Amino acid sequence: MRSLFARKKPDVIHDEKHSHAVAGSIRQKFIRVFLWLGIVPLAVITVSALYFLNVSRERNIEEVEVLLARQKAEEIERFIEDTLASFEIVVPYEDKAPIADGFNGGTLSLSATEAIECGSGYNYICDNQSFILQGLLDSNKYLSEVAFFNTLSLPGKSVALGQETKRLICAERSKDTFKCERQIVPSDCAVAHSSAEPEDCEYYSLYPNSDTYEAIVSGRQYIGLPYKTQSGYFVTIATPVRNKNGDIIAGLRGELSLKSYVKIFASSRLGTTGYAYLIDDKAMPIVATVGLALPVGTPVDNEMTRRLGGPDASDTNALTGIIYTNIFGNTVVGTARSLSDLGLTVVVEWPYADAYNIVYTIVNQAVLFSLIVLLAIVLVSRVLAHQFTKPIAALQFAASRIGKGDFEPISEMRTGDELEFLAHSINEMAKDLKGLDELKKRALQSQLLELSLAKEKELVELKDSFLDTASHQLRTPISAIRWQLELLEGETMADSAKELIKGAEEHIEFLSEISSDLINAASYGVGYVVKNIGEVSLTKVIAEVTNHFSAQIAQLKLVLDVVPPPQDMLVAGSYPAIRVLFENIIGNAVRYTKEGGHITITTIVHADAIEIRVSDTGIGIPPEEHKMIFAQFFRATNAIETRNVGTGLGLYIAKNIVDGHGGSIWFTSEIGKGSTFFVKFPVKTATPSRQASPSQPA
Amino acid sequence: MNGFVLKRIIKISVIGIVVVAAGVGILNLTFVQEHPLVKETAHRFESAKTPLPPSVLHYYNEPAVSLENIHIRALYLVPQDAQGSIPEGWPRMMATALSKLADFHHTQFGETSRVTFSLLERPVVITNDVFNVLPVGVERAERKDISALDDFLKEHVYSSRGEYYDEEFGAIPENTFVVDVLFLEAAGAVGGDGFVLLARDYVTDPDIFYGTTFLYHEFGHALGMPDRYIYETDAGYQKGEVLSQDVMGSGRYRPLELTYIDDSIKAAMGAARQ
Repeated sequence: MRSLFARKKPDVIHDEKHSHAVAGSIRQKFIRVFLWLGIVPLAVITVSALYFLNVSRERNIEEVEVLLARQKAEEIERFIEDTLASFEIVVPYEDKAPIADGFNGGTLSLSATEAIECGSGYNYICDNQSFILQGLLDSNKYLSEVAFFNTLSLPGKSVALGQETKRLICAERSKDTFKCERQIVPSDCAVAHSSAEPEDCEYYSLYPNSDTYEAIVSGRQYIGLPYKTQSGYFVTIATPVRNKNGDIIAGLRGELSLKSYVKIFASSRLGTTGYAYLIDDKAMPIVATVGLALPVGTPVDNEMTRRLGGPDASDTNALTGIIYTNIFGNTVVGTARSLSDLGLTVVVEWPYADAYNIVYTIVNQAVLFSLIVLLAIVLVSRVLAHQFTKPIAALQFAASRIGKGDFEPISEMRTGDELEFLAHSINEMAKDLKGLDELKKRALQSQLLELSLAKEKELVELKDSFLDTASHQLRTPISAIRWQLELLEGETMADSAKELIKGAEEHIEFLSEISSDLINAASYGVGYVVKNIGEVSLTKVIAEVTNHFSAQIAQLKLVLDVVPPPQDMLVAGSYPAIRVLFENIIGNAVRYTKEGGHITITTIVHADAIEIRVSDTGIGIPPEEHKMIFAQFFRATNAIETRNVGTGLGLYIAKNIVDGHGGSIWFTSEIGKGSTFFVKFPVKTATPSRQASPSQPA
Repeated sequence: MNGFVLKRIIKISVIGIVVVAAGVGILNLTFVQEHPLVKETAHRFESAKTPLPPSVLHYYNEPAVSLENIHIRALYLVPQDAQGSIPEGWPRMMATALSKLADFHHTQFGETSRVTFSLLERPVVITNDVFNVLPVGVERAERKDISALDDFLKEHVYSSRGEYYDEEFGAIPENTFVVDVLFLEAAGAVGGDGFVLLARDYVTDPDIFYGTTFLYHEFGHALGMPDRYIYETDAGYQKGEVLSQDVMGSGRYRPLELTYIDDSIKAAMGAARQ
């Protein structure tokens, strides 16, 4: 498949005269422009959008992770703080004395008026410490151990500073109420405590040099580092116990299970696979999102936990947007937030395949969309380019056709723009060019005709001149022979000799006729034009001609009827020519009408013409020869049989003369019955002439 | 149908098939699967990664002595005069206690150390002369303090000629640190290099809630762990003062499941990150 962007071979219009190689077609240019206009903005917009989407997502991921880490950290801190708040005990007395522990307590005031005598030894009624510790254990299911420790140096009391005075361990809790159902109370210590040396009881720890004790006597709360037991992680917390005046009268210590963090972290999720977990200061995992199989008893070792121990963490307590490989081998975007007081760190990790999933999805959709748009652009550009260039191709074809001389108009275009106007202009131009071409052809034809006519005229003139010269040259000897024969007739000679002379005279007469015809044919050839126009009386001419043939009419005993017009009519023309015309027509009637036949000459006057009819009862003309009767040298077959002498020029001359006068000649004929010749001359004025033209030659 | 129309139909068909195939292909195609920028950054971190040295538990302050594998040989020592005090079901109770010890150890040290044990299910009756020199009632003992007992056991338990000889019990896995846990039918709780001497009551009397804790406390001594409480009046300390709440300190008086081993001890055993 040829590339869409490949250039076509140069288009060549295959016409020798009009061929012109071009670098490309408008269609290709259209397609290229469409593609560029479509692809470049699309690509720019897509790339920019994806870039900003990526940047935005990157920030968004960090923000979401920070938010989750901060939320978890706050929940952890809140849990500790809430527990510590429950540890904030203020006794309702002003004395700087420890809370009653039930031993050798003397009198215990219950109220302003009531008091209990505790007596010597242990009296549980007076053991307020146990009550308080019991209450704490019952109220907080996450406490495993609580204890009071001494912070007062009081005379008469053998309890050392930092010495625990009461400790309760909860060994078992109710599964329903979570109350401490089994407490471990070291009873032998109770006995020991009642003695003079309570410090002998090893259950009650002594820690005057500990951080816990120092924090409490300084009036601060204490939160230890988490430690790991088989029951999970615990943390040691402690608060000072104060009297009404705010004096510190004891310390309260508790071992708090961090199991509540399980709940805090259980549903910590980001996207589909993002998770959070809590690690201690040695990167040991404490709790994690449900389903996250962090290895047990092994520190989490990754880029993040390594950094937490490094200089980066100390400044900010939070590492954000770190990208590294988690312990499962996935690349993650991680955020950590340290709770430095607790030695804990919340780590949020989001596998970036999931974190950026939306970006990938959008990128994929964008690429898909771009490809579809690109395909659409390609298809649409091809269609549009075809639409745009179709009229141009039609115009190009039309121009090429015009160049080849085909001026047929192209079909009208309805593009409604300049192309329609251009097509219209081309059609107009073709029309004009066609007119010019026809004119040119006509001019050429007329030029050729003129040349042909001139040549013909020249030939006719040459022929006429020859005939004229030859005829005139013949006349003189004919006349001489005729004259000498007439003289010879006068001589006395035998009858046979006279017969011979008579025969010779007849042939001389024929020769004279032929000579006359030839002279006339020369004078009145094709294209004869009347030169000396005058007014000719037809009546007179007919009379002269009939008179000319009178001897032959009489000889043949023909009946001649001349029906003249009501009044003499004059036609504009040449007298000699009209005379020759009627000599030929009337002469033919006389020659080809049998003895005793009938000849009628009728002159009819029309409004604009004069019609002369010469009809006879002669041999007629065969119908098949009617068409050729006015042809040069043509003689009808029956005419030749009747009279073997004749030139066949008579009717030819007659037609030329009539044509020369603007008239017309035609005939009707029936074989064996006779013929009628009609001659019609146009008449401009019907004014009769009083006299004939004086200049008529004899 | 002329050739031109046929060609055109073939051309359109081919284009149609290609377009449909490409469309189906594109719809199923994932153009980007991983974020290119992220990957690049990830590679940068990869190069900065420095592997940690393998973590193996070792004897307290003695890295040369590996505690990766610890094997307990547990015996029930009964003095000649106390044979009537042997409680019912002692082997089960002792095995339970040892299992708890192993679990606690695993909780604290994870995979860096593994504890196995074998218990001789016959009480070993010791002679009075051996019994009388046992370091019971003392705060701290050394291995040499139980040399008489060691000799006795060597002869009567571990020797194939001994009356308590048990081949399976005496077998010691290779590369193993051996701890002799000696339950004694008498008072006493002391631990030293590779041995524990503990009164049987601690693992059989349910009232002693810290019994197994004590067992581990002494076991800790067997691994070299020091006490985290003051048992003598030292300068700056009071008698009974504790230095920690863990199993080697005051935590020895907690149920085993609530106590722990202090980080400073773990550090000295190579178990924690430095």
